[in-house]
Amino acid sequence: MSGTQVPPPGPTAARPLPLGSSDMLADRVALVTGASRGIGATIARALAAHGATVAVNYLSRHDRAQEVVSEIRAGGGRAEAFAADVTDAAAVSAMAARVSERFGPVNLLVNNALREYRFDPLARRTAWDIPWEHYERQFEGSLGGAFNACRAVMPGMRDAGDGRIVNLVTDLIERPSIGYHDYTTAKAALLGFSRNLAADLGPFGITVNCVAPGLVHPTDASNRTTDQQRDELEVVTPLRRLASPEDVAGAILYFASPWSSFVTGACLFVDGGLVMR
Amino acid sequence: MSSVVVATEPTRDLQTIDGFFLPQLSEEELAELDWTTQSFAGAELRMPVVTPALVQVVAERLVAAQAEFLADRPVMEIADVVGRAMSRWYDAEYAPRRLAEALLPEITGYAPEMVRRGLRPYMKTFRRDRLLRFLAQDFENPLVLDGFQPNRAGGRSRAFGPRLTTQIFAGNVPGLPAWNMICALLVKSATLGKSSSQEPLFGVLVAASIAEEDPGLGRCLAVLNWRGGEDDVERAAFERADAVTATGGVRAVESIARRVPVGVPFVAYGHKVSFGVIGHEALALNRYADTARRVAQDVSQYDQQGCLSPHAVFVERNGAVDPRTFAAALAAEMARFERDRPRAVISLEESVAIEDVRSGYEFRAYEDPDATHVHASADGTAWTVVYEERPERFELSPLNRVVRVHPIDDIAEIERRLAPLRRHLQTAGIACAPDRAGSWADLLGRCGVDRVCAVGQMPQPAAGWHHDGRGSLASLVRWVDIEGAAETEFERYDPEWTAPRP
Amino acid sequence: MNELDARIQSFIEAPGDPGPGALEARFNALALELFADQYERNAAYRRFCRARRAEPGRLRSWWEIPAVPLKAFKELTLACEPPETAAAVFMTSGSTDPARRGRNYHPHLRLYDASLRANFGEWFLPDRERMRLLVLNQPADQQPNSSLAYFLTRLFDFYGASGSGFFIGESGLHLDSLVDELRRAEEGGEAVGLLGTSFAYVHLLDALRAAGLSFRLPEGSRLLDTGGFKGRSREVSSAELLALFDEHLGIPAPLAVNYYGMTEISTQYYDHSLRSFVQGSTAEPRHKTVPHWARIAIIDPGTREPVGPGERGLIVHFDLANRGSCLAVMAEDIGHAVRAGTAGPQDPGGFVLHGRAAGTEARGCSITLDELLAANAGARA
Repeated sequence: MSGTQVPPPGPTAARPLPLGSSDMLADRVALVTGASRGIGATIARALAAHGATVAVNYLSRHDRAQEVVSEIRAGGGRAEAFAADVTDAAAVSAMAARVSERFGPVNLLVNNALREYRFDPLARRTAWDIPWEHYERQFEGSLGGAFNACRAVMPGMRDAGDGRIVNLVTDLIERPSIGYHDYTTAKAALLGFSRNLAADLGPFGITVNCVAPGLVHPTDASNRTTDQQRDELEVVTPLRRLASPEDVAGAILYFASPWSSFVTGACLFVDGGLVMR
Repeated sequence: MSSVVVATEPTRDLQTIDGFFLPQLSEEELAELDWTTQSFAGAELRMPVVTPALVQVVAERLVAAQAEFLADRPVMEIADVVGRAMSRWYDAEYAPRRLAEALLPEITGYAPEMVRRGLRPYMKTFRRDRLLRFLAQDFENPLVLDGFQPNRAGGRSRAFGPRLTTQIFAGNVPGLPAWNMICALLVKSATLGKSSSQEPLFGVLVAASIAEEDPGLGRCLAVLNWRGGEDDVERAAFERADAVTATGGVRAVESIARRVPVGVPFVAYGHKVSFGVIGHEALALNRYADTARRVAQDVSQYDQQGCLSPHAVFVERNGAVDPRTFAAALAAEMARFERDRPRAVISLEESVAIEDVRSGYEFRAYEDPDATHVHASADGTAWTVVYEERPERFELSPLNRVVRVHPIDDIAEIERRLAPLRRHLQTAGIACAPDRAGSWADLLGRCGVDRVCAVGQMPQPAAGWHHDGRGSLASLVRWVDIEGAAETEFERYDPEWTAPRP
Repeated sequence: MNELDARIQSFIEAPGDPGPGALEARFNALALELFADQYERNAAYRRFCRARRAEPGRLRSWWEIPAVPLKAFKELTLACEPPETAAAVFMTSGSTDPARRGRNYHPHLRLYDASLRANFGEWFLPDRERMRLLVLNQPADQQPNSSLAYFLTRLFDFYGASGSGFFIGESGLHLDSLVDELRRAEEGGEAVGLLGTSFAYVHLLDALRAAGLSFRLPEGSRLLDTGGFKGRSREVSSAELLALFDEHLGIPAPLAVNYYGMTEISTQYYDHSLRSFVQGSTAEPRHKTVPHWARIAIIDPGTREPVGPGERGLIVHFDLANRGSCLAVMAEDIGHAVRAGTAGPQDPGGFVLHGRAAGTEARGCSITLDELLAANAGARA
């Protein structure tokens, strides 16, 4: 007879929840933009695992958004997919109304969506050849998208005297190790936008914070980085690895939770110590 | 040996404190009385069982003490003594103050921080210089309380206070009995005080500190507690008084009014209604959050139990933030106030009243979500802000931190809305530019308001305020005039003319 | 009547395995199902629930089902079916403005009837099938919007032996014919049951006293009354009333059963006294019982948490028979819970009704506008 006891297999063979589960966010109706895949999908799953009701926003990949929703529901969570192009103010406002009708007003907004961007360190545009239109596209995606979503949920949050807004930026705004000019500049603008929002919405009990990941792997966006580049980045990172989507979702959970109720206008870097501030 | 561990109730020594003030009785006389106690979480108050006979004895001795220690005391000296006694309270280590800060929260249920921060500025309204303002407010020349002084009609006048005033104290807001007793002393009246069962301690502590400063003056004060409406006791208490004051709700005041003997002046501080008016200037982007904070303080202080607390706030529409946004900011400030000064635990009936108001507006908001919105504390009834664009009429708050916000285009609108309440209005807390304050005050005064103050200061009236529109001191005194013509006539009887020459 | 209604009806009529765990599980499942159904079909209720972030699938226990306050029956249309198709609309009394009266819409009355029968048999007629019933109320056809009139009329229909009748009409109490009936019962030796409101009994007792009449009704005679002197000129305590029933009618206290009901719900809550008496166990202290298809929660409205047994709180109803509107209703009545076994081993427990939560003086200057305007402060007599 073996001396060790193997615990019986769990009741569900569902995917493990690396960030745990609870009902801490049971009073949250979360809207996660760009949540059909990558970091957004992980965030949606993590929020749901902690009790939040999640509106999974997507632009075109209904199938993948529906997959995220199904996965959440299979784990006993509550979610639904909502299509909207975040750069289209009318579409976003209609989506917020639909979410509100279905689940109640959004009181947790995670702005994760961004314009399609090719993160290719070897084929990036340089300072001397990038056209203004590229900046404009990124502003419209990162900043405009967040602007539309914030505007759509603000009245509900104000009426409830309670709301959490978390915007995804990047650690490149502090340490532009690769010059993704347009993308990073738009994210820096999003940080400025967030802090101004935090100042104006504080009196109403609404917090606005940012999460600034380093290079997150694996995601669609990081696929073009080479193995060598990733190795080099790991070597200079104090925690000596790359960020995972779960690392980012952990920071989002913090800003969504009661543990951060007195934190606003902050930017939390999730890059293994590459940026220290 | 038993292995069972028996949990023992942590024993807590109940402090026994005097819940009465009776320096007129000797130790032996006190020992003969029947006693009762009123227990609170941290202490129990010892009180004599009040009988008509006890009231009769106390009243007689108060009248005697008044003649001995008060009647011929110059008013400025009284102000000095009272001012010195009250200045003891400005020391945070003063034992009665510490006792009040420790026990009043237990007795009233008010948050300790709220009591502490409410008491401090309140006691300062009895500094000597402020007491002079009390006097100056009501008497052009306060020396009329000491002797006959020239009057405008060409004669001379003197103001006599009652020898004894029976005062029914309020218990809704800690501290009020100090004001009642000091007003009486300033017009040289002894006080037979009936403390409120809701808060029977503070009057006792204040009387004791006056006695500490001046035992003679102390003998002119007595504080007892009996159940309001006890007919034979109150008859005895009213019969021997030259004046009666009562602070309380409509029903209590009406019941007393019926029983005060005809000919005895009765000063009633009855049920009053207060409100706020916010001008667009106070809604500026650099001001609105602070304005909201001040309104939240006015509503939340003493859980809105005082008559000085606003039931509703009228907010001008043309500000940098709209009234709806202001209501949201106010709600957030109410939540913040609740964090460190939580509302008292309230009765089932009070909770039901709040739920009733909330649900009524909630259902109305279903019909017209833009015109009505309820902001409410999430767990329970701690605070409620109702935004309501088109109220059918001015409704009273069920209190305990429930306030309505109504948008207005112009302050003139409120005149019509307040008309039914004109006899009951009291304080208007306002926030507007200086050049509009005068015309606002004109309009508010016309509506029936008797006090205009800044928002944020509604619960702290200035020294000498004409409480409920009357002179607090003037309403107690009886004037005696020597007519000017008489003085001229008296000349005729001057011994120079009338005495036989030797 | 749909499939869910049928299952609720059979649960009311035959709860099955009486084990407390099994019964609770069945109640819970039905309550959550009915909640889901009412949430889907009742738009106003759905809105109410959304504001409380409660929706089907999210709740685990009947206890979490949002309870609507009575005001909702006045201000909203709480109907699961189009109101115009309702089989009955029961309205609250009291308000002079008919538009402000609470309304409970019943698409059908099968569950109402099932509840009424299961309860009445258990608590008022545990020892017989039928009885001569003397009803001190107008019949339902004269008061089509009164749940009370409907209730008493159905009892008359289901349980009234020959000789039963109504003794209040549009012109008031038919004292003479009632006295005749009481006298006939007294002489004939056949037990009778009286049904009516407490106020109607007070009226009757006053009339009997004025006429110098009293009766010793035959053994087994009993009486059902329902409280409330709201808006009446005179109040009589329940202890006084019990003594008067004994004195003037010869009905001993345990056989005088009081029940608690409201227009806004579809189940009544009876005193256990008669059943306990019939079973030979003690009827004191008296309390109300809760049948297996309903739950009563006693909560602190300040925190919305339940209070302990014996502690005063607000009464919240969870009533599977209240099919047409909302199964969860927050009353404006105060009561306290009573543990099972309090009045003997057979005692299922329940609650004691204290009365309406109103009219107590608050700490400070709390007063309604009307009271303030009515008051004439400072007037000297």
